[in-house]
Amino acid sequence: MNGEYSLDTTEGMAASGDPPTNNAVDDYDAEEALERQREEENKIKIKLKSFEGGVYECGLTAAKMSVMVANMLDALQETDLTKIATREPIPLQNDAVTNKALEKIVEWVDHHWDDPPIDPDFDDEKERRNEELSHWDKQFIDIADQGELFDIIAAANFMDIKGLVEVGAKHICNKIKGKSCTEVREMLKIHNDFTPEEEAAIHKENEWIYAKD
Amino acid sequence: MASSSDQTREWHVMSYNMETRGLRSHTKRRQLLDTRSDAKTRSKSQVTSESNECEVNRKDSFDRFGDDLCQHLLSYLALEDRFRAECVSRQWQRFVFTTHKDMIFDTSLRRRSYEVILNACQHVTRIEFPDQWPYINHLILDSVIVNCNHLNALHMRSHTDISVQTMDTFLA
Repeated sequence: MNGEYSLDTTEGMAASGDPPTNNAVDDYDAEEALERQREEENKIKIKLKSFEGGVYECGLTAAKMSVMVANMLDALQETDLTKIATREPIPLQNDAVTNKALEKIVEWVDHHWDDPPIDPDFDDEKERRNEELSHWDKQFIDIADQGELFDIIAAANFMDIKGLVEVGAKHICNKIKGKSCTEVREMLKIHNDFTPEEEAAIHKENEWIYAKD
Repeated sequence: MASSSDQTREWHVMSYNMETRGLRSHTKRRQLLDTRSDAKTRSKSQVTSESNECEVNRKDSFDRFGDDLCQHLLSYLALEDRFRAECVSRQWQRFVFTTHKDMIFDTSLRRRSYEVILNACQHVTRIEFPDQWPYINHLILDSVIVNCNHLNALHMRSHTDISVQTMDTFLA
């Protein structure tokens, strides 16, 4: 039973060292094996503890979307992953990780755990950057309370969940779209530290760029 | 089997180690945030009513984010929005253009706009000029040479004659 869940990396390594016959089939098999392993691992539930002390349960593969959590788990060097489930909850020590924020974050990673990993060197990166948010993500991130929204973004950044930070970033940029700097300042409650003269100068410099003839 | 308090301590030690090993720049960011809010409180102490308002709004204010995260969050803005957003605050002005990496010009802009845009977006890595665009000349290419030191791709097709000399400087 325990052995079933343990990380078996030896098989994958052997496959990549094989002579280049039936490479496509091997790749396909390796990919499928990895997918199955991720699926199995996600059945193991680990506990995360918010800054306020609330404990939330989360699938292992999902939790590993947080690079920070993944690093902490790696550092344990635990080969028997089922033992991780019985451990004390992982404390997330940043004041942005409130109960509400962590609950939403767990909801997000549980929905996205089988996404392909984000690779900044990958050619599709540019395409993905320009992609619109999915319907689910839009509903997920459309939070009326801005303090809560910012908590989630700051917490996701602290936990290093790139995909979720990106969702937050796209959401905010969508809201900024087409707004004047005064409107943006009001909406995001940003303190204006320019003098009126400086602001007027930037305005004057920029306003004609997109003005139509 | 370690007792539960041992385990908790282990997590704490581990997250501490990660911070000191620099696996996350969070601590740095935190410090940055702290100094920023220090400076803010100092400047605000002269205007007490404003400082109170600021305390209340701290959590839902975009000002809570440090430079790194703020820069990343704004990296999804369209170029036109960046020019509007430049005068939001000094923090925004510092890097609202640095994350614009991919520039596709369209034909609706006036000639001088291109120079200003190129001058603002010095971190651009890829530029695409419209096909058969009448403005493409040595002046535009010169400002690309002067401004865009991070460029690694340029797409253009031009029917105007561009002198051999210009192309030579450009490719050099």
